[in-house]
Amino acid sequence: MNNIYMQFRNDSIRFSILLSLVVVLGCRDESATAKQSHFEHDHGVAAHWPSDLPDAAKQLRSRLDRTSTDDPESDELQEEMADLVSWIPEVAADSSLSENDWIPINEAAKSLSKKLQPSGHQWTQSAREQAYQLCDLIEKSESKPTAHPVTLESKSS
Amino acid sequence: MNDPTQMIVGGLVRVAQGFAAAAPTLLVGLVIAAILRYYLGRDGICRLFGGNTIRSLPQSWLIGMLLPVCSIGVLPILREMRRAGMKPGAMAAFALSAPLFNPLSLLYGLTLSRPLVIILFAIGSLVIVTALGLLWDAIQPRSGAAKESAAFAADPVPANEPIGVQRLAAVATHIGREATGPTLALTLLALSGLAILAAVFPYGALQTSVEQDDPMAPLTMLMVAVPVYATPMLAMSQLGMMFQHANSPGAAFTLLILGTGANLATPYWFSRQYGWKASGTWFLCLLLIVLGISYAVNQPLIPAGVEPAGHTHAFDIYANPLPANQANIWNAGKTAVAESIGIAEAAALIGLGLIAVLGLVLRGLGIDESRWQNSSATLPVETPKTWDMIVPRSVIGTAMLVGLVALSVVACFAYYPPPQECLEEIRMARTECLSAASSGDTKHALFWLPVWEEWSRRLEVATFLRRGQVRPYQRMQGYLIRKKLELLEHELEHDPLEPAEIKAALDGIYATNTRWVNSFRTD
Repeated sequence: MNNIYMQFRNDSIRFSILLSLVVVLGCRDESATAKQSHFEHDHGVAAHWPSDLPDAAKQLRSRLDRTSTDDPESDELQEEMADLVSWIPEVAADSSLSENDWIPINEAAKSLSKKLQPSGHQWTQSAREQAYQLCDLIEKSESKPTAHPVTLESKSS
Repeated sequence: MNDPTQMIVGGLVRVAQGFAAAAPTLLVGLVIAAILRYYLGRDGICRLFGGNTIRSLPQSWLIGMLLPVCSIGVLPILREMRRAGMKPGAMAAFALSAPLFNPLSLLYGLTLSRPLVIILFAIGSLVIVTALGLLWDAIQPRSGAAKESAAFAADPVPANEPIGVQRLAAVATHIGREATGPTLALTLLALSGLAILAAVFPYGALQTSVEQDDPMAPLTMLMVAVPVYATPMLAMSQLGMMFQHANSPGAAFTLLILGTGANLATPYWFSRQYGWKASGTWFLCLLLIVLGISYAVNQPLIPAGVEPAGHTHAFDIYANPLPANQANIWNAGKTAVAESIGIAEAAALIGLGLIAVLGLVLRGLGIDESRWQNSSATLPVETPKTWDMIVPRSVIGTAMLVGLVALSVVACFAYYPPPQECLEEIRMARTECLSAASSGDTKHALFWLPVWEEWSRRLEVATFLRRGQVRPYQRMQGYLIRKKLELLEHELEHDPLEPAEIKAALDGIYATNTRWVNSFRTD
């Protein structure tokens, strides 16, 4: 047992020396100035992030109208369209849609995203048709009455 | 760079926080080790972990998944496995897998945004421990087996093993001496990794190190994760934050396997048992396999539809806890430690304290486990009465281990109470947080905000536990509320405060909260 403790003591000394070296030579802060905020890295928001659900449908439709399947110049727009489709479930959930109205939109967007992934976000004719249908579905859902009115009661509950 | 005072205070804070976090699982580890030693014995331990057959690797992995221990709590168990003559491969498999998942953390993980990822991570851990176990058993020279047998022969199971009260006394003595002896030393070594990280990394230095588009993210995480000590629940919540921020999935995998599965004491202990060469080869292979898998899964597991946040707070806990402009650094350190101790940690710390006192008294009096073995040898052998039979220790030991697993299942239901109770807790945290944020009391709001966030997770796990599913809509609303809470947190941390921004963040939370709460009330 004494041997074990002796070994541990020797290892502890070696470890302490190593630790001191790491601490003394350790990494340097990139900035010597004091931070004004503890969290300087605010969430980045993409330029084409939609302001609400109708805006998502509007942005998607406008890009669909501006692009075609054989247009090599539209790579950036096609990427943005894929982004919009993948964001639609979140944007729809952050609207006044009821759960029953949200489910078909979520499923349609997920299905379309899945279709786009293997092709590296290349929009086939079938994908474009599905995207137009998604826009129609969103616009139809938006015309329904508000499902989750925010009341003073719900604010305090 | 941290100044020397910050390094010292920050390091001490991280060690204290780590010790408090480890206390519950360390206590469990000590109890399990004593049960293995005095109730299961050598044969029982070999049977439990699959003996020296190839089956021992997946079996050790499975047992590890069921036992609620962390990478520190696993150390006393490893010592007992070693005494029982288990092969190093099975021990390494158990050492890595036991801290990764337990019933509480697995349930938590399954309710994260992509449960499939957690299942894949669990399968990935099985592949790793099996490959490494086979490798170790292959490189371990035959002389190692002879050495193990010799080590075991020096500590044989006594012919008249203690039973009844004597055995309980032997168990208490063993736990007390372990808690103030080798296990304590290994625990401090494990926690020193947190002190190193706190000394090296300034406050918030790891916020942008693991972005999904950063090819160095898994490698960076590898460097950080080796000295890290993380409890299974902490690692799981960090994975949740990483998914929410769309950080690198490969880095998340590295953190889970190395940060949770091992700490500085793990390779140290193995090297003391099996030599630096064999242990070094094993650890190097572990690093290479983890890194390889991390890069392989990095792109395929990037979640669709989540806008990368460009940072994460998941690893703030591994950097220095004190900002550079912190006034009264010692008080801030004390507050940081106090805030990290919950009811479970406090209870476990009290339990460990009592055990440590017992251990110190026993050491002072020169009493060890052999005292109870000797006294039992002198017990008269009587014919057992009908209701006073001697139950074989394997039966008691198995019952205790099964009981422990059953207890952890019960603990799952206690830790994740019914959704209605969760909603009530959320209501209280929300009221405190929002009213404080509205009135400009940022400190109070920042205290309640993580409480609210944590209960939002527990609500989902509780729903999953009782109803078998969390609906996609509920999951999405949970994601939204946590995202908006984090935005509020950022606004509250701004110096100077921007009231208009805080109001906008609060308005967003009100609307989301209504939808989120309603979605769980309608179940």
